[in-house]
Amino acid sequence: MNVEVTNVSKKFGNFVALDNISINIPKGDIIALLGPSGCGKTTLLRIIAGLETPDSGVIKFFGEDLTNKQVKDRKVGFVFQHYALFRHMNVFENVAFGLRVRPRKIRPDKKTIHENVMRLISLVQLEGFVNRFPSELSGGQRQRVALARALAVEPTVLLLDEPFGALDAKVRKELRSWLRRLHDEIHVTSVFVTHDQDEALEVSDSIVIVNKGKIEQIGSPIEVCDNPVNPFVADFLSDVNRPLIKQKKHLFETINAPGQGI
Amino acid sequence: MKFPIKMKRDRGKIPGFGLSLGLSLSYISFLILIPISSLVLYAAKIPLKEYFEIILDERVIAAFKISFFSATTAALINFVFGFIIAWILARHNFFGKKIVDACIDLPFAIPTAVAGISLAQVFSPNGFLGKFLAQFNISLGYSTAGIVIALVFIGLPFVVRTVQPVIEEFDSVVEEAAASLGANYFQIFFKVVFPSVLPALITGTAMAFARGLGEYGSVIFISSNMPYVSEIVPLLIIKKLMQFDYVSASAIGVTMLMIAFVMLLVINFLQNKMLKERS
Amino acid sequence: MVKKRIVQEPLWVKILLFFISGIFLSVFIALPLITIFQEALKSGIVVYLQTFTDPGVTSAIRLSLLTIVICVPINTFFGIFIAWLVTKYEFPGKRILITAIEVPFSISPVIAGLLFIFMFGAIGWFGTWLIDHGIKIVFAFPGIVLAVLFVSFPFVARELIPLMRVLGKDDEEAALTLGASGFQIFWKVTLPNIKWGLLYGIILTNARALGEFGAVSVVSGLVRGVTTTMPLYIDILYGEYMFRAAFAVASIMTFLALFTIIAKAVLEYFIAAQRKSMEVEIQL
Repeated sequence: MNVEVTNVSKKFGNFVALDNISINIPKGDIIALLGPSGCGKTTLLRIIAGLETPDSGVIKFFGEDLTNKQVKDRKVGFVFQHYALFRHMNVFENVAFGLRVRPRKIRPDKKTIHENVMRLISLVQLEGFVNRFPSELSGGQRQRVALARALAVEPTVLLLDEPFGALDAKVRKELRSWLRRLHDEIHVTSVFVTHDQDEALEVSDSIVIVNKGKIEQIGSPIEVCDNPVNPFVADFLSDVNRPLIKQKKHLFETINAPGQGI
Repeated sequence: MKFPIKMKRDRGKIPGFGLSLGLSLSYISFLILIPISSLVLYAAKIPLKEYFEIILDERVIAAFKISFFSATTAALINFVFGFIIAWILARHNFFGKKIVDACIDLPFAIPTAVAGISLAQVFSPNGFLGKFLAQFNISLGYSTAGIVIALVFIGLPFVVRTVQPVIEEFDSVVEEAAASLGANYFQIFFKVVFPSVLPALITGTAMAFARGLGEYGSVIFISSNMPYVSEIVPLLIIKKLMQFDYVSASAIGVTMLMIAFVMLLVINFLQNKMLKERS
Repeated sequence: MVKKRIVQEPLWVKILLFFISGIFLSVFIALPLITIFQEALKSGIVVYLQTFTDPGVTSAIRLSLLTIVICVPINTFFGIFIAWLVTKYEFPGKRILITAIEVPFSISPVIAGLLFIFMFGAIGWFGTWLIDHGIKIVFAFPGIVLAVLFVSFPFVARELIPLMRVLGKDDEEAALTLGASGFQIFWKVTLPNIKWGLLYGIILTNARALGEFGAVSVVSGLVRGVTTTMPLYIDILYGEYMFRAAFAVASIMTFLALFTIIAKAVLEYFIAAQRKSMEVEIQL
């Protein structure tokens, strides 16, 4: 197991955001935290990142207890909902930030930083935009810069908060199949938060359905669609795009073909 | 996902809490809290009877009356003219508007002593306006008129700058709706527009009033500073200090301090109310 | 620019409002402004310039400059920390702290000066100890610095707090997940975002520090050449009926005030542009 969340609870005043949540995320998987607005999924993501302290519970990466470790020591990549790109830095500087702020002893030299950054920029297909500022990019391009920036620190876990939430429908569709392909290429353990069922089904290896601070069901996209454990899950997934799942099923069958294994 | 409770999250993870809390509290204590308590504790040693004797002294009462009267009059003048100026700046384009707009801040930027001597000069018998007023036998020497003039100058930007953004943000669709319902211009103005600007106008006026009560620099040059006629409270405190009458100075000072705190709370309350109504 | 509105006041009302505003602003803004320069230059430019060779004037200018060189950086430093504190963290008593920032604005400058008399003067808390050790604070230069620090304290925090609230914590949290230290977050992420607002606050702090009269006149003791800043020297000259010299000194301060309002207007433009670009960014 790579990321373990055990018995995590969190309250804000009288409001229970998370109630005794436990999840195990296998290495290299991409997990969707799916649920309606205000269900606690973003809080869980922030707790994994260390941006929030849980009232109780334990977070482990690779078996190492990180509950009391600071954000900067956790090696997470976090993609914010509105990207939080640094406005006064161009694409290159944004992606290089995480490497440049390292203490001198472990900071790569200029050449290495340049190579790493350029590699990431080409990975997110923004070669022509190196010197652009965030204000000169489209929403989808900003999203990809944010992703490259998060990946630059070679995170053990990549966390994405509503990665497609701020994009228009067409760009969203393109980006999510792109993200899936990218993940197949780099295989970093990833968790993303979404309220969009189709998005969760298309991109993720497994889905965690959260409601009112509790986990309703965990399972692969096919499982949760075919065998919802309770009326909430059934209702929440009732209007998903069926053909998409079929396609997905097909994809899974090829991946899980004998001898290939994951 | 919008998460309204997110704001309430405990403290936050960004480093530097201890350092910034420590520095901020030390500085505020050193600069504000300890000085205020040293005045208050000195005044607290005055027996209550003596305190009231000082405060209820005829000259002190007169000074408070003069200060309150002048600050109120000036605030009311700014209520009217500040609103009109804010209205013009928010609703109309005209040649040189940027300059006029910037000049509204002049009373904020110019030292009070400079404002004081130039207003005194403008209204003096051989000054530009003084000459004009002298023809009608109007002189500012033996009344609070001079004080009011200085306080109008000082208070103007408070009203304009509070009201102007509210008029700018007022949604013209509301006016159009009223017009479509058959209201004439004055009905629209007095029944729709003005009531929604009024909270801001009151807040700005209260700020101008509070500032006027404590103002010293611009007033003493234009006012004749005569006891019982045109002597404001801050000037009286300075006179007491010059006579080494620390007891009276502290008693009057603490009274002014209490009034200032009440005004601070009133203005805070008005501002919060305004913010709520706007959002 | 104002957008065209369908509902407009009748022409005669518009003309009346322009007329009233014009008269009012002429009397209260334009006339005083013109008068300062007219009085300063009454005896010609040569006499005007001679004023600035007067030792009283030069020492007042020097003292005013020294005051702002000390006070503006100190208040900027602490103002940034206070704004950072109240916008980046949640803690009990935050509202009281924000109100406390406003205190120097809400009390009379004369009272502000009075506070330091009762703290450091002969009758004050530390008075006897200071006298025993031969340290003079009140009726000396340190007293002026304290009074000016007090009255010009709120500007930086007051400008930064609303700005930093709008900017939010996302950028700082992003930098944090990328491994930046607190110091790096401030220098590389926060400061570039708030630079215009900070400059705005500094300019207002500077204007107030230069121009403060009431508080300074209480604590200064008016020792000519030692404790007279420019506004106090204007008072002395005016009191001695040296009007031309008083207005000459006033004219320099007016230039600085005009510079301040121009800088203010320019910075407001930049800040508004920054806010607008942020709104667009979030909509995208």
